[in-house]
Amino acid sequence: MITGALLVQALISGLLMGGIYALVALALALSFGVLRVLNFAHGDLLMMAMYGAVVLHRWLGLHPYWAIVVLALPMLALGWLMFVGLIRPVQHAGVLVQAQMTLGVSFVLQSAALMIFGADLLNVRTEMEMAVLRIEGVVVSVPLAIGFAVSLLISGALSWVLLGTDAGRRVRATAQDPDMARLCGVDVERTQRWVFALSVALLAGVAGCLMTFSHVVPTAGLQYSVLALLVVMLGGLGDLKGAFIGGLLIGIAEALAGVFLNSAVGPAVIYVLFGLTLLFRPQGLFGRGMEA
Amino acid sequence: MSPLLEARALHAGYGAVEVLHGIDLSIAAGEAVAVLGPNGAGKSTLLRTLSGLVRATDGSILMAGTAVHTLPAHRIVATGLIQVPEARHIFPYLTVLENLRVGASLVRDAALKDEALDQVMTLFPMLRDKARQPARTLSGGQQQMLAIGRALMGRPRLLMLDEPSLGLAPRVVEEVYEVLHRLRTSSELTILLVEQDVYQALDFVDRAHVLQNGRFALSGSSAELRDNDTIRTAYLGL
Repeated sequence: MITGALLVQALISGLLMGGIYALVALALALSFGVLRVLNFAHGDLLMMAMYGAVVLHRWLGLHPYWAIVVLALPMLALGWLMFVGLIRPVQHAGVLVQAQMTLGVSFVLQSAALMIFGADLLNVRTEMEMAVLRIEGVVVSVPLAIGFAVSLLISGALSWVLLGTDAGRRVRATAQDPDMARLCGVDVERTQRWVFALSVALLAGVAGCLMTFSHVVPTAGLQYSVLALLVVMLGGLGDLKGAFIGGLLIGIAEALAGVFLNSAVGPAVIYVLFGLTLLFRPQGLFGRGMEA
Repeated sequence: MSPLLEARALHAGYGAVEVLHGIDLSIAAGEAVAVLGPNGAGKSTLLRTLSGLVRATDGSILMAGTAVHTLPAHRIVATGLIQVPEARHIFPYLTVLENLRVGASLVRDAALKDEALDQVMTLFPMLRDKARQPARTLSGGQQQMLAIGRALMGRPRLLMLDEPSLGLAPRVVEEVYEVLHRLRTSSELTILLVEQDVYQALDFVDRAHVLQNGRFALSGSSAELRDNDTIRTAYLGL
């Protein structure tokens, strides 16, 4: 029996989860927009950060929210190295070579996680994990709500940098027309290096939020990669506002599918939604190029 | 006095295809020089090579005494050699003001940046009125003004313009050249102009080169070239 309350419940949970998806997608859209290389290891880098949060909790007893701060710098460095060592050399190669490279990274990270952590599902037990807020009969998970708020905060900070600073303007100019950016004196390679590093560092924020209520397995990355790819294409490749709204939509669609059908159908519904969007708006919902 | 820009025996191209087969070009400070020639002669490639977007495979480029043919494009901009490319290439999703600010990417001093911004907006009052609009909403002529304004934000010593009249209405072309005139006289800007509109170009510059199949086939003062029979038949249709 589907009641109004259940519907509201699903909408709210979906929206909150969607906010976290939006940050994953935003990071991917940013790196694709500026580098024109699609990073298929995006979700696996997130998976690494999630294991990082587990390790920090086990060794140092740090709450996953601390992991956001502690992991940001190592993730930035990891992204920086990955760009210099692996992405930059294939940047002017064909799309398939680039896909092979980032897919290769994805497999390596998965295998490494399997070797180090095993195949068991790992999580971080926190007191707040099960905490809920009850508002007018609607149950809101506290860690999910905080995760939403943190993602929103990080996304907001990112868009402030992109829209309000000279460095951000140079990033957007590079995304729109790299050669012209060069003619304006922008060091395009350097911009791309930092943007990629930043897109990986942002995943530390996502990982910290997710680990307060979710779990990680070595194969978790694929799910997030696919999700981010769908969101980014849904919003229009390289379109940051579109990626953000796309993330929210996917979260809501997934939750509604869970209510009306069953939770196993959720991912399938996302694909259907995606297929329909491509059918009627192949440029994405907003598709217009890089606009923060 | 040594020239502001000097290219010697410049060769460049795309992959295995060489487009420029040994160009010698020398421009003194304060001069205006045009490169004329038919489509596909290599005019844009020449400017792209000078800007560092296309690598010179042989030869050298000296800008104000600095060897720039080995520098990356964004470092060449710092020597004051700045290009307004063909088809304008404004950043469509940035506002007019943002386009101008990106043009000053290498100007670190905020006061200098504001000063340049004020100069450009005085030169093009239209840009001040439309400062907050996305650049893609401007008309073709306005976009050309923006592209020139953006280049000026980088404080050029030598401004290179690739077909500034392309696709613009005759009245707008007049406006563009009027601005270029003002820049020459008031700011003593040195200009290298690539143009298909031979009349317009020869009226504006001191001297010109005619580029054909990657080589300078003819060179001379504007007056000489205007009276040259080859030019008259091939380009002016007289």
